[in-house]
Amino acid sequence: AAKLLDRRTTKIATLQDMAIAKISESITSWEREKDQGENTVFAHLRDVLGGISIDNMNNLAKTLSKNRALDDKTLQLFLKTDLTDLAFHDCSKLSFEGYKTLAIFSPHLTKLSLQMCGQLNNESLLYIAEKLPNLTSLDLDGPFLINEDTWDTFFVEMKGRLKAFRISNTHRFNDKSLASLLVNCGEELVSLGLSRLDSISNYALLPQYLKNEHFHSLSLEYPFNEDDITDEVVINILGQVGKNLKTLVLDGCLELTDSMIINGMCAFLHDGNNCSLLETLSLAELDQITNDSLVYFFSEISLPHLVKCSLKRCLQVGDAAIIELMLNKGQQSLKELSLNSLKELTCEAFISLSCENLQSLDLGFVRCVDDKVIEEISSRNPNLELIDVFGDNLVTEKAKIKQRLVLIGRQSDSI
Amino acid sequence: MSELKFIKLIGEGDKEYKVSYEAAMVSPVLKTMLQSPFKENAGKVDLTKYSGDTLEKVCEYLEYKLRYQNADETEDIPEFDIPTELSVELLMVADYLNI
Repeated sequence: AAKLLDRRTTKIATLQDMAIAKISESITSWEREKDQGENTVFAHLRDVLGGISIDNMNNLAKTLSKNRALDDKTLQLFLKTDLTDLAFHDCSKLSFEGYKTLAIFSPHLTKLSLQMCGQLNNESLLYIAEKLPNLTSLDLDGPFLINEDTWDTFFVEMKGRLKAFRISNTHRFNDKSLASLLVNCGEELVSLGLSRLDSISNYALLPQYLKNEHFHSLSLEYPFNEDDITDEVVINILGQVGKNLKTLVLDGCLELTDSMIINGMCAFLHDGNNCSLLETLSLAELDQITNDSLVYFFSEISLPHLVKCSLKRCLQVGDAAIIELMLNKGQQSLKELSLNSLKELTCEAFISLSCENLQSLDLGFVRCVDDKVIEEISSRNPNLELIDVFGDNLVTEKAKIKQRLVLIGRQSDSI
Repeated sequence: MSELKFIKLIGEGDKEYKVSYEAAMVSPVLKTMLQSPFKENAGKVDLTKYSGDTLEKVCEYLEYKLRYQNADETEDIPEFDIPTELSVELLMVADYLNI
């Protein structure tokens, strides 16, 4: 489609496509004539294709995913390695057989992330549990073929091993599966992510099982019924594990109010001296929270490690919260800040916006942002590389910014 | 910067590979680099992570693409050959250069 828009019709394939075609072709032809022992073949395959270091494996996985070219054939590049950490961003073409081979031939894996893993079935998930003895962290997106019984068996198998688990986009993971996860692995878990799970309503189970004192990452996003994740649930969880929390993501939990911030975050997200370990805080789309609670939070709790903060579409949040954030210790460590769609913001907030390490700032749909504000921000934030200004129609090509800074979404830079 | 006729891609072991400025423009990444105010606009691009053979192939592809991208229906386009042993590395550098 991009080519059509450019009014250009070229028949020359991209070098990436050619290289991928070559790789698959040689894998196929070589499969036919293989007669060597299984153990050496995959290593041999990599040698034939030019050799590739372990460090580059994840780059290769990224490139293949980006080109939508990860399938059972190209998967073979990743087999029989000492790789411990593997992330596939698009597994849609991997068949269940592929996952099984992966499990059998990569026994050293400790962290595995499979996004869009639609073809992952019951048998292959159990293979993963059985054949990867060192697996401690699993991230699955879209495993909708796995049924309730298999989840149960899987968590029993992973008992004592599973430390980090994230699952998103499946309606088959239900309350019973969640209970099984918590009963079997809850004590060991240090990181949990549940996002867009349509069959989960009993989030209230979480607090009683999340007990590990080293628990550091919690993300609960976009529940099917917004009233399933209430202030009470989150407050109870934070009461258990708030002290050591490094990541807190509550995007799209629309039911949450100021009470969660004051009675949960302010009360528990610190070590006793009002100092928190929090690195990532994301409260996107919480439209019931207001300035009052955020100002209180930012003034009470020191956040010296805060790197990423998103208040995207928290529609009631205004200047005072941002000004208070700039008075917090987090101001020095902050690298990424999203204030997307905060329509209450005025130029006041941006006069105070000055962070030594800020690299990326999302100001999309903050209508008051104009050339002058952009200039101010550009001069006060020495390391800023990127500002999103989608929908800010007062930002024009006339804005004077320093050379290294890129503005994305300016109306004047139309394609 | 259009007075530059050739661009040098610096590969492993600081070996240089020449490609014409026009052909380098085929890659959106090189294009941005060369037109930017950064040091690459002197006509040298550091790709020392990649081997010489791969970069040679990259230069060959850029010239090939430049030569044939506007070819009309009647013209015969020869096939571009990729040696098997370079394919994986070539894929990664092609991804980087977005070609």
